[in-house]
Amino acid sequence: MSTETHGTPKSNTALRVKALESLLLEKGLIDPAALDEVIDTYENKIGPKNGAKVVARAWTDPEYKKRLLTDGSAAIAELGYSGVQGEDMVVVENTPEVHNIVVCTLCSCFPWPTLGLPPVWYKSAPYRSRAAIDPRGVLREFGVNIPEGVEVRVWDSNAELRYLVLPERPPATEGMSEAELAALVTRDSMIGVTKIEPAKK
Amino acid sequence: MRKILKVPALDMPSRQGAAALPRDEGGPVFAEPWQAHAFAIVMALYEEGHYTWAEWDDYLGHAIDSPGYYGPADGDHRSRAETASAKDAGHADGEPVRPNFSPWIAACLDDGSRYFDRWLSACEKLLASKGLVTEEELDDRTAALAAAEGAAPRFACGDRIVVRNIDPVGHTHLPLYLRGKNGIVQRDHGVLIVPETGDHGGSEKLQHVYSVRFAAREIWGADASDRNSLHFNVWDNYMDPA
Repeated sequence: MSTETHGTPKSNTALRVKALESLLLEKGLIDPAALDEVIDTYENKIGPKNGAKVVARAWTDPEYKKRLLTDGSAAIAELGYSGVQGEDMVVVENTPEVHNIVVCTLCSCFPWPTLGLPPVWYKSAPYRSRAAIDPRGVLREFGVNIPEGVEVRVWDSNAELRYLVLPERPPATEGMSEAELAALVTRDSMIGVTKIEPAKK
Repeated sequence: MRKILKVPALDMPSRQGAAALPRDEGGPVFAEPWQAHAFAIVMALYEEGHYTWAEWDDYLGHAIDSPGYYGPADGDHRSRAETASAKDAGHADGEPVRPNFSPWIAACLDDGSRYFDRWLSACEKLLASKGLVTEEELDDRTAALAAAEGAAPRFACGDRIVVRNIDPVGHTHLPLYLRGKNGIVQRDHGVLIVPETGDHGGSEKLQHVYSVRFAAREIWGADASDRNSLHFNVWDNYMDPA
């Protein structure tokens, strides 16, 4: 049977994308297999799990962490993550004294190879406008209270430079393997809007 | 010869391995298949060198900075933002509902949910500026698709049909030997451009195309093997119910 869903009303936008794709196919400008590959890559292959591995490596390997904080792009490429929107990476470290949070006030720049495509809220006007002015307020919205004594640094991404937050390693994780640690790392913690919860026993 | 266009289905490629997401946050990358396709179109054309990333960034930045640039009017945006409950906004985008969900985050999700509309808008403008696809071409094709997809298919698998005894003008995909013959619908191929249109400069027509099975004896007579059959792709307007 056909893969089309007949007779169901489609949103105008979906139709427009379909129309655009059909025109580009007709003109020989795109190849359906290439489209499938792009979608598969961003759906299934790149995502915050990559960034989580970078973080776990930094937590367990002090030499790697040093390289990561000095030359983020090279250290991340060591683990095989590079490509569009991840060419120049800067890694900023959260400590008990400093909390980092990332935003792209002008657009939606985001480190795709390590974190995947940005979450919905990251691309929104409220987040982009408020994170720069009121980062502590934004963090409270995400359920994180940053004590007054802690410095908050906001990093504005652009098309040339993107940021990855190296979150603090949670307490009571001393005996854990790199893979177990990576499983604790959340996407939002690498954007800097949340902290990583202590490991559950 | 004019190419016969298959209208693409906005399917998602089959999953290869588990999604690379730590924990259960994040939700699906694309809320709807069209978003994935709009995204992939921009990436594929960029990889083919039709524009630089900086050019794309300019267009996307402009579209994002101008809410209401595309899609519903500004008034709609505001009322949606005001009425959207945290829960609805979360589900609408596949973003899991957070236990510490604030109304402010709901507003973020609501606004962010229009990101790919803006992405598409930026894509259209960039492609038009590069002369790849004009706005008029896109409007015409969208209208043709809307008309075709609005119509439910007339036939289903197993339906008996008879090919109309018509004589289409100009190029056609209906051979003389099938006219008046009976067949059985095997498969609906979806919507294709009608071969008789498209060369005349007007908006294209699209119709369902069916794979129809004709017994060899029905076409060629009693001398043909009763074990042979012909499967032919027949446009909707070439046939009637038998």
